[in-house]
Amino acid sequence: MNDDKPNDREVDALPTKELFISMLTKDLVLEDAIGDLVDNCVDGARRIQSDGDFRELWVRIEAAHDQFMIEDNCGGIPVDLARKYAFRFGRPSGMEPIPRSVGQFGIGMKRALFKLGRNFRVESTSEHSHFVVDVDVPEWRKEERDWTFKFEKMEKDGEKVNPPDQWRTTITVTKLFEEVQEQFGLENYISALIKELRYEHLHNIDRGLSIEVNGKLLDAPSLQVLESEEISPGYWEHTYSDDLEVRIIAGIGEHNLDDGGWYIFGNDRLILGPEQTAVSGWGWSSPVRIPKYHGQYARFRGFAFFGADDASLLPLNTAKTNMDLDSPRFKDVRRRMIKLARPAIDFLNDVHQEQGRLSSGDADEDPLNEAIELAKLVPISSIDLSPGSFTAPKSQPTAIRATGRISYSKPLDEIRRVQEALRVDTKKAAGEGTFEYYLQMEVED
Amino acid sequence: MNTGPEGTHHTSSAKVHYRLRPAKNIQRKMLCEAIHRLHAFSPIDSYRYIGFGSWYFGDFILFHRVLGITEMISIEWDVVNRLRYEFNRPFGCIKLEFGASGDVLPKLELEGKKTILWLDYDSPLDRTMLEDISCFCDSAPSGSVLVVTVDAAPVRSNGRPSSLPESRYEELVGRVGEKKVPPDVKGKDLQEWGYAKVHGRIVTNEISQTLVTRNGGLDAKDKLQYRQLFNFQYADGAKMGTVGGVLFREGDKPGIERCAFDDLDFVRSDEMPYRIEVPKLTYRELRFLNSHLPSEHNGGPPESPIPEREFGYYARVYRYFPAFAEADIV
Repeated sequence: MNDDKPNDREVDALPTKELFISMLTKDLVLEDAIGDLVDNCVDGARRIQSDGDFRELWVRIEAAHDQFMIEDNCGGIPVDLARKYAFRFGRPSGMEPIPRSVGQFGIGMKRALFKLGRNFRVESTSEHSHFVVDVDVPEWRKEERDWTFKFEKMEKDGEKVNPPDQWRTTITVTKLFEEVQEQFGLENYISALIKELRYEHLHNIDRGLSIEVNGKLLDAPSLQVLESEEISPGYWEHTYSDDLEVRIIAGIGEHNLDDGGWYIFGNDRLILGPEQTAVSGWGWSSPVRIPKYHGQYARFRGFAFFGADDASLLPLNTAKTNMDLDSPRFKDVRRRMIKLARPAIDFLNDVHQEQGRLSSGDADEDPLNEAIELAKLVPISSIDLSPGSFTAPKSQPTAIRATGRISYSKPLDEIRRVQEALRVDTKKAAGEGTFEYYLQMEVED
Repeated sequence: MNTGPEGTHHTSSAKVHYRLRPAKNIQRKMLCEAIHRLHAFSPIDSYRYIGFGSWYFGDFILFHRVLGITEMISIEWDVVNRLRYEFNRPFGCIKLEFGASGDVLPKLELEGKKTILWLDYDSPLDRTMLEDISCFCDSAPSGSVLVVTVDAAPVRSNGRPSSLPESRYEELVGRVGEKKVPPDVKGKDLQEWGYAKVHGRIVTNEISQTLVTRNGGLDAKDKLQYRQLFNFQYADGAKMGTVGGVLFREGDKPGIERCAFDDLDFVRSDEMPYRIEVPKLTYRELRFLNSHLPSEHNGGPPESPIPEREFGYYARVYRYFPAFAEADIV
């Protein structure tokens, strides 16, 4: 055995900066990176307004060809927080979590900044501190062993109190990457970003937070289902032993193929939706069958709310763009979602059959459709929910009958010849006549 | 008799009366005796029974008479003959639910009540049956019993038996889906009683998979286990296979152990089946053999011209053996 020196027996496992700068940024799309920055603003809002009243608070985003800026008045980042957490890669394990935050991995902001461009500047004024960090990413990358960011300016004074109207964080990214510049130059991209943020933060907007993107103030879309004396959504709620709270609502809403499906929230932030794939149970056969999503279910609306003071309990992936699909908690909730959806799916199937009978002339009434017409769209927040199944009128038992209907097409001259041979005037009579003839002549009793 | 909406197989009501199928009759009484033992865990008359009664209701009659169960639901696919099924209900406590089992089961509020569910299909295992199994195991409370019977004869396609091992395998994949076929199963495993064995494994896997998902939301003492009790094979004509067992909370384990299921010689907790063989004996022979049974009290087969093999079969099932006689009861 060689008597190796200790350092010969060591392997350098320090991560490279390249890993963080290139690789992590490839795991998320640009809108989600911007979404992460907005999440940080909301976390700030939660720190100063723990009651959730965000009426005086705002976030402004300017996405332009040469520069990206996000500014907020959500309390600023205290310098200690910046030093210990905001610029750290990964959340230190001793870190006190912000209750009801969605950030849990401590990479969102850095990853977003690296995703956008080559230079970023963070300036923040909080109650007791003020700092500026200005980073030229290519320069920073050169020093492989130096993982520090340096404050360009830093004032901290426990005595001095900055008035709340000065609390502010401004993040500016310049030297944007080409693909980012291209996107920001597209109006359609900005529209898509607005739609995404409206949904992601609808609860925060409802609480009074004003979010502006390129001067446009975002309004919150309303989560609605149909309700009447006959139709009401299904509801399930549960608090797991680790304090993860889950609420599920399943019902029907407007007929809209794009908007139908499940909407899944983590600490009031939309994670997925409208979800129309197996992730939310479409096409599953366990514990009960749910068909794949298609036009027949364009009225289906499901909402699942995951909530926890400790964001690490939320079954989400790091980018907050999907659920953690292997999480036993998520799997348990999904089976509840499937079970809660089933009666609404059954009802929509009945409605579809009723329409079929109506258009084929087998029925002349459509009571299920009438029940839908009579129901009103109401925001789910205004419904007095108690646990139970989706309710709706049942399909009429008259649907069960011992007769069936046959229809087929044949050339007109052939039909005319059959009519003449049978001495009947209508196509219906020709069809019935030939059927009865075959039955009598060829089929044994 | 019941299948899912995709099933091409209909009711077996038109086929042979269940009570005239001796092996099935024996199996039913053995199931009943095992289920009776659940009394040590929870009063058996507080259970609900759900089955496919057809219009003979053989299982319903036995379970009501012997176990005293009064909450009974028979799921019946054959809606067209609704009135005839209603007419044939042997007891007033039996409720009929019309529809495919896959449509009826999700509506029965399985969570609330300890249930014995016997999915007594008479066609080969398919997707819709696995859905029924999953639906039950996802919701049934601790102490509930699931029994699944399926046709285990090699399947014919287009009227011809699929004789090639590969086509048998493909046919199985077509019925249950590739993800449900155990990885080591090959076409050559699907002959003779091989179907019954593979079907049993697929059913057990479906139960396990459903419970893993269900347990994800539960604390350790509330997590559910499945304990297999039944693995019957029999052939009154076509080969049939039955697997089943009891679902229970970890915390209820002592109660389940009190039932001492293992004392019953037909209870099987693994892949080795209990094959029900029906002896061919005359009434005179039956009466003679009864006087020499149980055999451990009487020192083996008595001197007689009866083949020892028939005696062996009979000695295992004599307590459950149906004695038929023609009787004019009209």
